[in-house]
Amino acid sequence: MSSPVEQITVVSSDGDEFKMTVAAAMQSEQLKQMLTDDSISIVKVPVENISTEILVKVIEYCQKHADHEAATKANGGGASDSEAEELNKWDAEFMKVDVEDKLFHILMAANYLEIKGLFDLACQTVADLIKGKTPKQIRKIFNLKNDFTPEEQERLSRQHNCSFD
Amino acid sequence: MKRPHAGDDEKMKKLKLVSVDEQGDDWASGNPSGPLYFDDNLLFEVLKHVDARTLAMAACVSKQWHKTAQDERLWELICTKQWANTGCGEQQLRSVVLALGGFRRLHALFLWRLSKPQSSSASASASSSSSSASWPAFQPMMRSKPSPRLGKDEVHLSLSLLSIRYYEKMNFNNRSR
Repeated sequence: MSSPVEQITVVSSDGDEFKMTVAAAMQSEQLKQMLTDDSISIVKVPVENISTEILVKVIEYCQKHADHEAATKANGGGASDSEAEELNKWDAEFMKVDVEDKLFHILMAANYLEIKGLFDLACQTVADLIKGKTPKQIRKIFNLKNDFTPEEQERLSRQHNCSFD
Repeated sequence: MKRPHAGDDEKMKKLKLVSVDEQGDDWASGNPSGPLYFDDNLLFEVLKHVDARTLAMAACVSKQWHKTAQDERLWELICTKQWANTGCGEQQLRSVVLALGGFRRLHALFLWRLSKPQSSSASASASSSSSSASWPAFQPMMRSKPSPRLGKDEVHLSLSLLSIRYYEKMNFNNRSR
């Protein structure tokens, strides 16, 4: 890689700029491709779909995981069980967001930037959110409309043994 | 993915999440934060991580969720998660099960029952062993601990039952005697 940059700047949809280390940026496949493509010279990367609030969280995740990877490499390539567990605990705390909207937006951002770890983590967290819930509760979480006809509802509730109430 | 979304990136699915304003007036927007519309593929990714019961519930949420929750690949994941050892290759298993009616049907007809107690039995005695929040009614029938991991025999049994059912239906439809 001939590029001497050590940091890149990402710009949120709100127009705020944030610096990321290259290592952190490499957590994102999208950013990684830009960085490894010598024909592109990076100055600022606008991430139009991601607000400041979410971008801050995403960068935090990337930085933490980049640091973890670097530490693992420095230790000779294998992460110890306790380190892996500590990272998992950090991830769990990280995903505790105050509103569910934030969670969905983090999921979207992880997908947009192709950050596999964060994407899987967010998917799992959203899945945990709906586990054991009734359709009505799920609809409430996602703010969805029940668009089934009464006949369809009747058939489904018999088929799936679930209540629409 | 069998449901390409307009504008998707070839390499990785670019899943869209749009707010209600862009989506038009399909959804009631009484809530200040507005409803979010999940792309089919995104929903699929999330549903990969849920258990059978939740997936069945998901099918009752809305038409979009119903369509996604019916996806055979999700049910295949759920079925095979439970199987310790099927004794045959993944692709082979998949082609057999799909030919006989699919994983969703397999699960609904047979696997679900293998993991559920008899509905008429008094389940109070085993209530202490119920540890999984997502299966509130699940109590092991004759085992001391909840263990939904099915071995080769249960797998073969359920596949046999599925094929018998398929055969019965086939015979009935083609009856010419």
